[in-house]
Amino acid sequence: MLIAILRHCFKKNLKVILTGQLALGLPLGEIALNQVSGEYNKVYGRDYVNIGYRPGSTALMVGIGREIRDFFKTDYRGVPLDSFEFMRRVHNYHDIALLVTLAHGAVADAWIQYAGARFNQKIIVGCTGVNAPNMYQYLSAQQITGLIGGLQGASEYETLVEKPGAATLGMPAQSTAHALLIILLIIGNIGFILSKKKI
Amino acid sequence: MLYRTGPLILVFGTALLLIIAFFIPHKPFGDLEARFLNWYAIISGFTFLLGLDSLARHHLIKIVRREKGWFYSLLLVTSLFGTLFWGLYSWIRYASPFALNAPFMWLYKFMIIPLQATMFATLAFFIFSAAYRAFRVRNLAATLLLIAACMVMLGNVPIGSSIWAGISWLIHQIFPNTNLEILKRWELFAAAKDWLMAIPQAAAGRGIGIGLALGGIAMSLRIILGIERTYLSS
Repeated sequence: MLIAILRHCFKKNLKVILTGQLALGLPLGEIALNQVSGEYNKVYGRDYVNIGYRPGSTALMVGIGREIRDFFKTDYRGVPLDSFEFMRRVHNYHDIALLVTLAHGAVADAWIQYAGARFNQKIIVGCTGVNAPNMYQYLSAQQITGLIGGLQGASEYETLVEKPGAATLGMPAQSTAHALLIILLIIGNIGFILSKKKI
Repeated sequence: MLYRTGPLILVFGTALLLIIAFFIPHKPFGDLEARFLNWYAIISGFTFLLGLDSLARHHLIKIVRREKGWFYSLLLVTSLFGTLFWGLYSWIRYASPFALNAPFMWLYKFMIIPLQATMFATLAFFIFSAAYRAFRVRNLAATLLLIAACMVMLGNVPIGSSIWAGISWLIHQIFPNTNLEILKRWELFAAAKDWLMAIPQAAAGRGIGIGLALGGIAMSLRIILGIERTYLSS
């Protein structure tokens, strides 16, 4: 999902700021940035930055609405944000055209409630398939601009950017699992009906 | 006396200031909010230390006392401090633990990611078992739930499109007047999934969301006014 989004951003020459609400997720971001930036000849600091992780969760989300430097004075390597030219123009949500949150439910909810509702930040949510249903109410209320739901959403996004990747490769496995689940449900229900008739 | 009333006064005062700051985002209240947010971030940073202390203490005691499952505790403590060690080493040696050639990243790519993938893969078996229990055709409601679940599952994967293409062909064979291309484009499973998600599911989700929000407001008021004191362990 992240790789497809980064490809889309870099293809359109958009500047990317990566941050993480979960420390364990950041290496994935770094791996994806390194992979995709190479494909599009993008340079760290000029086209994208990784500002890393800071504790604070919802406080951080509200705080960025005032000044991003209150929480992120440096990038994840400790380089001051102001040493990157495009970051000098970024202070709060007014300077961020689109926020893409790749998260499980609770973090996406928090971004919508704090950054979206309070600061009118335009948001796109990418989440796991399990959490996607919870995001539909935000989508239909136009509290979020887009929704990328699970592996299927990621695969659709890869198709959109015309670069099939891991998600598209995973779809046959998901198809098999869903088909198997439906077959087992049918067999289980036949057994259930037959056992009820015997009683 | 102060042991009990002190925290209550602190909670009430802080909440009052934050509410004022939300509605009057100008000096001095606006700055106050920023200050509180910084404090919150610092405190939440320290909660990691608290968590580390609590986790390490619990498992170290289990290991020392050779309680049941102490070997798993040993594995946990070794992994915990091993990760910490390699993280710090990578930080010092490579300037960041996330440097692609750092040992921490090796640990992340070849141990943490596969372990998490395994963990999520095993969930599939629980889903199979839970799905059967939830979707048994006991009554009309359960049958509708089963049909909706099958529609959503088929609408979510490419095999649903293939099955619908087959059904379209069958309909076309039975009713030759129907246009096969239009039937195929109709994508019944995907369309049904989108409708189910966007209308009935979202409606139920909104109800739950509003209920949760009202519950949250009620609980916040109880805490602010000192009615709810479980955080004081009383």
